[in-house]
Order: sequence, then C-alpha cells, then structure tokens
Amino acid sequence: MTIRQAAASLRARELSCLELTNRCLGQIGKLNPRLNAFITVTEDGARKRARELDEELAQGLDRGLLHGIPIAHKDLIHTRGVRTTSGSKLFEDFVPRQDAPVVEKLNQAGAVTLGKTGLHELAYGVTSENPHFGAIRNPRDLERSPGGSSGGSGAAVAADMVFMATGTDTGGSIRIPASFCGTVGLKPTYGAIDRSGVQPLGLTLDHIGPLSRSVDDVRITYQAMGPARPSKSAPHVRHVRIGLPENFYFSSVDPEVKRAALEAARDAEQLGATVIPVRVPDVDALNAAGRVILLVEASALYEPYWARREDFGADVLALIDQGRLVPATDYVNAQRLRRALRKEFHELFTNIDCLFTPTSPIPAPRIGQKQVEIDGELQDTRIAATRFVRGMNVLGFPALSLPCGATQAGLPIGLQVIARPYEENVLFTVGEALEPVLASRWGFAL
Amino acid sequence: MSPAIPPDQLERIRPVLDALLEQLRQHTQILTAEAVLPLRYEPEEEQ
Repeated sequence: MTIRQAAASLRARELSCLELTNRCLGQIGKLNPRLNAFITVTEDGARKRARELDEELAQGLDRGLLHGIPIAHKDLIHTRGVRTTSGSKLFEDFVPRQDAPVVEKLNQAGAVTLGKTGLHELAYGVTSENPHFGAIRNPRDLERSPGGSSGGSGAAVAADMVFMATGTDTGGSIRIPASFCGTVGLKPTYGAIDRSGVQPLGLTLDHIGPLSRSVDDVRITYQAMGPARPSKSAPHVRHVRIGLPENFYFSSVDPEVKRAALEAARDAEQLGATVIPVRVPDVDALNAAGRVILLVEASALYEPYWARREDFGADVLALIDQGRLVPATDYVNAQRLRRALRKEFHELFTNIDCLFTPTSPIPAPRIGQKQVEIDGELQDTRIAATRFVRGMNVLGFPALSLPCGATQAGLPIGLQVIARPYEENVLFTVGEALEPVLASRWGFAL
Repeated sequence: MSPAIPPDQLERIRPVLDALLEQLRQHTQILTAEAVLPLRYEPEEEQ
C-alpha cells in the first residue's frame, strides 16, 4: 500500500489512523526480532498520536496526505523525549529536549512516528553491522546486509513496518540501503533539508532524505520535509534527455546489475525519453576527494571523544584515526579538486537533464563479507558499495535510487538517477514514469 | 594533549591511508590557481 492509497482509505473511513498504526506496529512486533531494524519503538506515543489524528479527521481537520501515516526516524535525528543513540555507545543515553526541524515538519504534516531505526555506528559505514546494537538484516535475505548507514530505515520500509523512514546520506547512506533492500530513496540537493538537530558526520557532505516504497511516496514526504527552495518544474518524460555514461559507471560492475540498469535506460527510451551516451568527468578523483574530506571532517567532529577509544567499534575507530593523520594540505587540495570537478559536472549537465547509473556495482553482500568479487577481482565491500554514490555527496547534486530489477538470487538492484541541484522534480518525473515498467520486471508489489 | 594512536593501529591504517592520499595527490597535483579555493574568507559573514 502506498501513502496515497492509505490516505484515500483513511478518508473513506475504511481504515482509521489507529488501525493503520496498529497494523504497522504488528508488523514491527512480528519482524523486528529477526531484522533488528528498530532500536526504539514508541508504541504508546504512536497510538496516542494516531487517536488524536483520528479525532482531527472526524472534526474535519485534514493535514494532508501524511495525516495518520506511520513513519520512523533514523536514530541520529533528534526526537524530543525519545532516546537518540546515533548507533553509538557515546550517545547511548542521550535524550533530546527538542525535535529536529525535519521531525517537527513531518509531525505538523500529520505523520505518526513509530520509533527510531538502527544504523551503522555514527552513520560512518555502509554495512549496518553495529557492534553496540547488533547487525541489521535485509528483509529480502536475512543473511545479507541491508546496506547503510540507514540500514534500519531501508529494512523497515522494505518489510512494510512503516510507509517512510528518514535517512541521512554522507557517502551513499540513503541510496545504498534503498538499492540493497529494494526501496526508493532520495538524497536531495545539498542544503535542501534543514540539518539542525541531526548528528553530523561530514560537515560539508551530509544530506537528509526519505526512504519509501514508491517514487510518489518519496515525493510526498520530501515536500513535507520543507525543502529550502522549490524544485524547478520538470518537462514531460518524452522531453527528458538522459545521459548514459560510456565510462566509469558501467565498468567493474556485477553483470546482473549492469544488465538491469541498461535495460532501465532502454525502458526510458521506450517511454519517449532521449538517451544520450556521455563521458562523465573523473569520478575516481571525485571519490578520492570525497573520502579525504570525510575522513578529516568526521575526525574533527569527534575530537572531543578521541580518548574514548573503547567506545568506538573497530571499523569506525580506524576511520577516525585515519582522519587525524591527513595533512591539512591534502584536505584543502581535496576541496579545490571538488570545486573543479563540480564545474565539469555542471558542463556535462548542459546537454542532459539527468544521468542514469547503477546505484551500487553490487547487490547486497552477506553480513560480515569484507570483500566482493567483481569481474574476477576482489574488492573491499565498503569501497565497492560506495563507488557510484559518493560523488553526488561531494557535488551536492540530487540523486534518486529506485529498484530496477533483481538478481537470479532474488536480490534487488537499484538504478540511480542524478539531476542538477534543485531539480528533484526531474528525478520524480522520470522515476514515476519508469516505476510501473521496472516494478513488473522485478515483481515488487506495492 | 590528544591521546596517541597506538602503534599497532598505526601500522594497520597507514598503508590504507597512504594509498588514498597518493590517489588524491595524483589528481590534485595538476590543479592550478584557476581551480578556485572554496574555503574563502568572507569578512561580511562576521558582521
């Protein structure tokens, strides 16, 4: 069921907000012991809020499409009176006094918060194997990672526990779980959604956005999050020019992933869009700059905690330590390189409206899998998983991941669509046009 | 004073970090002064 379908049922009195909330809480009760998608479930608060919202609807007060819709927040987004751990021992007892603005906005829109979803420790990693709160599991295959860092959000949405869960994305942390779990995820334009009240990681790389089960759901929740600027209106899909990279994004990719992403481009062409082969600027350089910038920014942020070494998981501590060792000259030059590449990407986008790439070169890896084999070559799982997504954190361009197929083993494959800053509507238009075609291919039912 | 990184940890992370920095420097060494530095000092922001 989509948000729009649930909203129609609520208004037709086929369903109450409380019944919908109870249905989702039932799903959480049934599946969370296996998936570990939630760190905290706010059952009582959710039921109380759902009753209030039912009362409002009965009195004719309608807050819009999100009125009575169950959602969850990644557990690094401040929620008043509800523990917010950031998946870390450092903050295991932290209870915020205020809601983050993004939470306030969704509350005002009538969403019902069911709890807080788990994540990779401090959002600093992509596996969601959290040493303090346990590994989160992928609902499509319990032996596999849901991706991360917003792994709990991806799992919760894919397992029908909520209609939408918030995520943050510093190097792919919304799009990777969307791809691995078979949901839609949006990393908006840098700065579009207010980041205050959200535990930072990369001060110039962090983004907030929604994960949901359809492009329309993502559009609805993104609008409710209160973007700083309205997205430019998009042309009809028949007038959209899609760039299909000839370099980088289709090399060193799992063959099933490659096939599915290329088929999606052919589908878009069938819908009337123009597909243009393009050569993209140096994404390896962009990734190197992004990794160095993140190492330094995260280490600077956690400087007050450097002495508490035993409170970090081994992988996160290794990254924090690396960041301490980066010369300042390299950080400054990485920022200069970022500026130069941003200019080159803007030039690329003068001839296209969006770019199609696979979201990740690989489907969901097994929990604990440190290396993956691509084209006969062993690669570090974390580096491989982030290779196609990190660049857009560095550039700040918006990017949407939507399911475009499945492997023979039944694992979801994500398509990444990238647009110019504040052109999220292009992503939504293309995504909505493609969604029915792609959904029929991988058998995903709403 | 900042706590030191233990030697065994340094030994583990050094090669990984050095490889990344080497990769970055291959790209940054061709930057010229024309690649604008984004870390500008903006006095008006402090007013």
